[in-house]
Amino acid sequence: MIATIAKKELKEMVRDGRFRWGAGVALILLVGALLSGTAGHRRAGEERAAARELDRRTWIAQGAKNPHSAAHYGIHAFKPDAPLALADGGITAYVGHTVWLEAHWQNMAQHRPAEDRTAVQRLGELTAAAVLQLLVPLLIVLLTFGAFAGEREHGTLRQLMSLGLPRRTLALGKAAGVAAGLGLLLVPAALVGAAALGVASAPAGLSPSLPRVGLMAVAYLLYFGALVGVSLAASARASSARIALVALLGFWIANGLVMPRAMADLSERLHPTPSSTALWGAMRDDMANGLDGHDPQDQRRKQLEQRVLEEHGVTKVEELPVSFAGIALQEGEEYGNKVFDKHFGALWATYERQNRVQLLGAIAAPLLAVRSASMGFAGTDWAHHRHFVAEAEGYRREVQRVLNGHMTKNAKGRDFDYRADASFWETVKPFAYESPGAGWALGQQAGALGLLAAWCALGLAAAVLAATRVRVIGGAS
Amino acid sequence: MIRRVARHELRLLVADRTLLWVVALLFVIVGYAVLNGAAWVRAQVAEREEARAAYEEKIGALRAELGLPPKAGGAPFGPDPRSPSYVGGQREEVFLPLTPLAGLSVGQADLLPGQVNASVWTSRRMLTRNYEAQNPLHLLAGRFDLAFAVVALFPLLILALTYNLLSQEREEGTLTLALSQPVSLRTILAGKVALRFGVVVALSVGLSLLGAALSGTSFSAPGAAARLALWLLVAVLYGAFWFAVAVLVAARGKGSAANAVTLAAVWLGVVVVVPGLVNLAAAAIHPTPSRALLVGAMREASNDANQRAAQILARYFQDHPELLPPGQDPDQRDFMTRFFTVEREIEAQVAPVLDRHEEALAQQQAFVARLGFLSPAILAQEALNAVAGTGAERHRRFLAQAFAFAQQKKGFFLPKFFRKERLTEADYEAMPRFAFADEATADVVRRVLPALSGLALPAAALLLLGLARLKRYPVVG
Repeated sequence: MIATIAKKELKEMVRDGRFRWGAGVALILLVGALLSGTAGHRRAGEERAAARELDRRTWIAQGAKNPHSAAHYGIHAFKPDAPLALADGGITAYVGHTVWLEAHWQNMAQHRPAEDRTAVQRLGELTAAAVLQLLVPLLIVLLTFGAFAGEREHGTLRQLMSLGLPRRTLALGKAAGVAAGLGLLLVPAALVGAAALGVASAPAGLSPSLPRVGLMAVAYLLYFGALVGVSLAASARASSARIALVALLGFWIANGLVMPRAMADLSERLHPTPSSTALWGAMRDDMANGLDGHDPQDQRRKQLEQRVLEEHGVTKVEELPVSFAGIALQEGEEYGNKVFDKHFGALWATYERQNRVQLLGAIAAPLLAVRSASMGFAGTDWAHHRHFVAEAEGYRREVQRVLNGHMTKNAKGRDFDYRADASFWETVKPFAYESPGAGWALGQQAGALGLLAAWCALGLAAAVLAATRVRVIGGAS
Repeated sequence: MIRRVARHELRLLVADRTLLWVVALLFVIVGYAVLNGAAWVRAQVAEREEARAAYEEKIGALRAELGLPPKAGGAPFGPDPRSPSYVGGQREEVFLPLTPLAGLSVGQADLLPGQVNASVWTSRRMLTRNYEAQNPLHLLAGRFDLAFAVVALFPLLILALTYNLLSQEREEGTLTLALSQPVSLRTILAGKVALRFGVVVALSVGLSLLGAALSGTSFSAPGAAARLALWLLVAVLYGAFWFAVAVLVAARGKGSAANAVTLAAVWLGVVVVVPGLVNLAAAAIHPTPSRALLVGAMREASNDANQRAAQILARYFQDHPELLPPGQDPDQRDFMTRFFTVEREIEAQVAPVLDRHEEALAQQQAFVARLGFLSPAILAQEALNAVAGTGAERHRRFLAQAFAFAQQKKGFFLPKFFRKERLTEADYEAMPRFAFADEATADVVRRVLPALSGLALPAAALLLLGLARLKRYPVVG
């Protein structure tokens, strides 16, 4: 029986000009967004690969120089573009893709793509994710607002009920019909998406991305399920189709337009981000005066000198068998690392608290949960960015250890006048970044998936419940 | 007659309570938006004051030390109130000042760092590094400020007031009744629109002024009145555009529900889809030049200059013998002498690369700006940013001035450094100070003018089209 109802719903939908138009436009936008995403991904990939190669080449070609000069010259880590970014760019445009790894400082990732674009970007990017999160729900609203209220107004609900049809069956049949209608849009889009992804992840192929694609699909199906449920429930509860439409449009606006911004501002109010002046000021202060404020830099240096002299059983720096400058530089790095871990750790913890507040907003607006899950599985969320930045910083620390170690060993008596051989730079191994797997992403997004599952279950339950209580006569005014 | 219709409409609207809801909603939205903007402005002001105070305190302490006898055996980089390189190398954060309207449209100000550390170490290629402390997810979502309310939400309220301009009266049968009186359809429509437009304009002007006052705008600040007037003009013309759309849709003679769906579709197109498509088109037709590759170009220049450091230094002092201390040779071994001369060369080499990059970027952004005429939402957003002083042009102006200021500081301190001069009380007095030369009001007007016509012309065209169509309005049936 459910199948019969679904088939009737689908037939009606396909014959309805509004559905054909809406789904057609959504499909075109979805496919266009995927293709454009693929082109962007390929361009970014080529540029980063070329930049990585050039960076390595310039590093090796820097000629004979002091290791500490080389440390200041530094190395750049370029973030690889996640293959699934072609479907959901997430925060990619708003985080830097280049980290300058230099001596003494942990720099922020620079070159945020959005800085090079115009304010139009801020009105929203048209990615596959935006179509799925924003436009498909609108389509769902338009497909379902009349499901019960419309039938009642046309008087057909009364006829249906007279056939002895259980209302639950009717609700499930309607839901199945909408699902089939959406399938007409989503299945071709998914095929195009898979093909695009195959092209985009050319050397590795499609298979490494498949678990992430699967998780993304689950998140979106739960989201759509929730919206179909909520819309059917509203249609069954509302006294007229017009009221159902207005209420659902209001929900759609709040969900897609108002809540993301309102929650971003709210989370910022609850957990303020420090200004960059305050952040870097605090770091410089900790470097100069010590983490506890009573351990100034010159004193730390004197203590280090004494310790090193004692270790080697000598009384003067000149008598050391190694370069004290190298030791002091490395000691400075180690101290700096503690300062960076403290302050960047606190900054990132603030972001994560803010992001959790926004995810909690998903209790009212499921978009916030699907947005989080989608960019999480695409590998374009904050957690993935942090992972990259942390790995790059780990590599920076390793490079500094190597350079300072070389200086300590070889620069005795010459310190900053020592020049390492031009061939030395090749022995510093390049940065290799491996992005985390789907299981890791799933761990990050468990909360978001849980919220989506709850929305889906409650939405469908509400639809069934509302359907069992739907008024068969009257109400239309 | 129009007045009589309008008065009648007012009574109806008040009795209908639609107006009440719209006003209540408007208050909530504007209130939240203005509070957010005000909080953002407060944080910005605090950061500026903190940075200013830190610099003043530092310089003040150094200046106070001038009277004391010089300390013996100071470190080469250590605190020295008489050293031009030390004093000139102090961090001086200069900021893009906020306009009185900044809190109303945060615009690009949360993305583009309005802050430069101007000192003798400043380089053009790293002008705004390490200021990216905002949560990227917030940048992605955008701010819930008054500009967002005006651009995205304000049209929805207008549409809620206008989707049934004539259709409701026709559906209720009162339209034929009204037209049996000596009054034309055009007059009735004009009265209805005039009243609603008046109410919306009064509300938006009133609430904008109230919002500006609440967010701490000083109306007497230079340029404040002009900027505020422009703001209101943009908002009113943007509102007029949406009224014109509603008139055209009403004149087509469809029912209320069909009108609502059509208007919602137009809104979706103008506010969401077209901006998204503009982004896609810009990325496809005019891709942003690669920053990653720019990094490589800079490194090559740096390698080249460093390898020729000795020659560069020698040549510099050949060209500028006046910068050598009398009777001395250039000090090849001095780190800072080398650094500043080599740095000068790197900046000179990199300048054409940066110029080309900025040129390409400007072309791409100009292309996007032209596409902006496809959507009044884009025009309104860009215009509101320009009026609030949070757009890209004013930011570019700031970067140019901040860099020029850093150059001015180099011009002040570095010759003294090369000549091994010591700073005196008079030098402290003569030190360059940063003062941002803000754009003239006329410039702002000139910049906003195309957007104003881009809003007014389509509004007028749609209105005329609507009035023409009205002649064929099906009053009955």
